[in-house]
Amino acid sequence: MNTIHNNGENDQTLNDGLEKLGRAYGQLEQDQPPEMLDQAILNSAHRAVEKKSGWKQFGWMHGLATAAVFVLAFTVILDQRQLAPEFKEDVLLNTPSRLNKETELKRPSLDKISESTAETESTTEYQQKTMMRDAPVSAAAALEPLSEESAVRSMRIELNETVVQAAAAEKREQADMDDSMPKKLQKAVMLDEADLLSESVSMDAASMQVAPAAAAPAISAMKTRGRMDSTIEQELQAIIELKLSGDESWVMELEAFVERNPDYTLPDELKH
Amino acid sequence: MQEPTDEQLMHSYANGNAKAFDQLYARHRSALYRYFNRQVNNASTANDLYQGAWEKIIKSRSKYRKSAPFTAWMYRIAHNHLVDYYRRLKPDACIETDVLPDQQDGPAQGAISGEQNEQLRAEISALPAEQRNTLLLKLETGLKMEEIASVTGVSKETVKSRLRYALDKLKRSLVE
Repeated sequence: MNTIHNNGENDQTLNDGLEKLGRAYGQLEQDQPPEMLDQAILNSAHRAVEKKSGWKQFGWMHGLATAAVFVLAFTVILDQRQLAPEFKEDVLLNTPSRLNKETELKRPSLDKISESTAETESTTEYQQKTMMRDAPVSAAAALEPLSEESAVRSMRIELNETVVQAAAAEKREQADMDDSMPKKLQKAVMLDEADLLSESVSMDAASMQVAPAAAAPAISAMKTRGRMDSTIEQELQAIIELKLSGDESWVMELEAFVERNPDYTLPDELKH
Repeated sequence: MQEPTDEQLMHSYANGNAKAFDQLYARHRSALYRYFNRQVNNASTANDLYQGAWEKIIKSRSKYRKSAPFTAWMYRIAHNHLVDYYRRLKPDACIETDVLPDQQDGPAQGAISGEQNEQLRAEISALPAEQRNTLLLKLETGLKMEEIASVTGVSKETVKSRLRYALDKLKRSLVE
């Protein structure tokens, strides 16, 4: 009880002392912050809220601008897709499974070509080469995600098929024109076609990317011309081999060749 | 029309009303400046501390809750800013312990007069930092003991103790 009374007295004494001190303290010179400091603090305070309110004010515009950029980008992508060559679009859109399906769909046409062009035993060899060419691509397309490399590879397949089809058609025409072509020469032609396939696989992908659809016929024509020269050389080589083997039929073969290619300069080995 | 309270003004400022801050600043600028100036007794340092404290108040505006008394909130920031300053000044400084004297007398009647203003100011500056801080909080802000305790992070009894010490020293110095 006594302690409580003392505490109360102490508090009262303290309050009295503080009151008196406060009065004296109030008479002290009233220091004021410099005006420049006032201005700096007020400016800082205003800037802080203006920055925030600025964001609030333009927040919806920021969102609108972002949405507009997305819409624009989407539109540009759609336009690009419409303008792009058809097969390239397919390559870009294709999933590996779709690539596989398309390869499967195209394979029968290749098989038809091979059947019509090669009725001899070399057909098997040709098909094997075709299968060997397609198989790695299909497997890779099934396993790998659609990368730039796989896209280029797919373009190669497309172009190769075009070249092969053109070559096969020409070969058929040539075969129709000359049914009397000896078996050995036919075999040589088939071998040559198989070589052509392997050559066409290594065509430059960069040139195909520029304008694949437009380039395909031109490349096909070039290949056909080259293939024809190559075929003639193959025929000549076959005749030379006949001659070297001592088969007298080489003379007849040579005559037939000269009839077919009257302007072609014969090699020294076949000159009499 | 009734003037808006400090709490209303601060809340308004936190919501983006810059003019509310102008009013608030006008109300508290002198007291806060004196609080720092009489703590450090150096105009340049006081200016830095004063500006730094206001910057902290501006930055902390979104943390302010309308239910909290603005003055206590503001001086808590100012006090912490001052403590940071002392720590930077003397990183290893020990916090002094106050012991309540057995017998306390109030300041002698008439011990403080107008002529002794300069002396009073000097004596306040000469007080230990904790006592000076507590005394200035009491004299400048008019905060209650509990609020000063909250601002300085000590108990109410410690606040009273520091104030008694400070008053005793001032009384003795001024009488001498």
